[in-house]
Amino acid sequence: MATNDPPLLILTSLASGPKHGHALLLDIEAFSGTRLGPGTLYGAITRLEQRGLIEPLDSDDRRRPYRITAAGSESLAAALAELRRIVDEGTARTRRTAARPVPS
Amino acid sequence: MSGRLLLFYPRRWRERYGQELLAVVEASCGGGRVPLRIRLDVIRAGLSQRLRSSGLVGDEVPPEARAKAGLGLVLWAWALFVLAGTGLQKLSEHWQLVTPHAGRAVPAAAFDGVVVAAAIGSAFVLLGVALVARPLLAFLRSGGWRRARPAVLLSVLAAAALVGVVAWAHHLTVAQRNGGDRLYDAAFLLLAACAVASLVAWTHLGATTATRLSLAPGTLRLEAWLAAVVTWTMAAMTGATAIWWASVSGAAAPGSKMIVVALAMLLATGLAGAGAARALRETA
Repeated sequence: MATNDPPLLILTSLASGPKHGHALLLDIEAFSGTRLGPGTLYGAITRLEQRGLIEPLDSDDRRRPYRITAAGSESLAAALAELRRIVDEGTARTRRTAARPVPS
Repeated sequence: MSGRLLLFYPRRWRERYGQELLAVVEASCGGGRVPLRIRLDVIRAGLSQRLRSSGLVGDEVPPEARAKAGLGLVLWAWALFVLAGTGLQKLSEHWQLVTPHAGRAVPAAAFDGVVVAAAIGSAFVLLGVALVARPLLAFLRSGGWRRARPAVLLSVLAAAALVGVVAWAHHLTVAQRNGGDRLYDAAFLLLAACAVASLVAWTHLGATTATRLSLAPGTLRLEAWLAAVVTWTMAAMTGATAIWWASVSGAAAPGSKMIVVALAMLLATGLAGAGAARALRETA
């Protein structure tokens, strides 16, 4: 899973509370530097909702907020654990390479 | 402007998410002109959503619907191939006359290969229709025949245009029939348009009707294998056409027109391959 994967970014953003589409875009850009397009955002929202990982909240206007579900939190935790394993492994390998003496 | 962007999405999706998406698009550009980057993003996502909703991509619809979408794509690819084949037939009308007798063996064998593969492909397409004859008849009896009316009407129109053009052609000289009479050329173009419209209407009817038929898993699996065979015949025809084209002189087949025909054949074969692979995967 890539760190700029739209579903992962959306789940991460919603982990801090419900947000509507534009607020999601701003938050994602702020914490990851990734600028998602509205079409990409709603493509990911569609799939996340269909899989029951997020759910829409009632809204009076066109800006409908979404919140993460329990299944979504579990999925996010699993994805982050997977990323953490890769980060830890990469960090350990980098340290081993740096500690190795440079051949003369 | 931004409202028109929604037309790239399927109707159902628009009804559920359309206004939300528009609100985000408008907020992203401060209510001003929508930047090209955002327009392209929405268009790409809309087309992707159409593919997902149709069952050709992703897993949003059940496996049976995904398999039928693959079969529908093969049917559309076959229709495109028929058009390309008609073009090839027209372009290759007099190739023997401009090819020396000694150099005819390879192109003749290749052309025979095209004809044989076309016959096999057509037989398998008809077999595919015959396999679903019973549920198809039940569907037509329950009111589905109304959906066939535009296709029947266009076919009647194409047949009438054909009779008229053939009758007219008998009163013209060879020169008049080959670009010397503009009115006749216009009538011929009208006939071609009717024929293409009729083919498109029947293909659309076939592909959409297939999604409504209730088919047993075994029948669907068999249809997927038939689609794979049809795809192979298309690949064989494309290959044989390439050999034929490479082995005849330029005068026998004008390059620019043959490029269009060859590209259409390649595109159709590629689409059919993708559709057949989808159908086989989803019925495995």
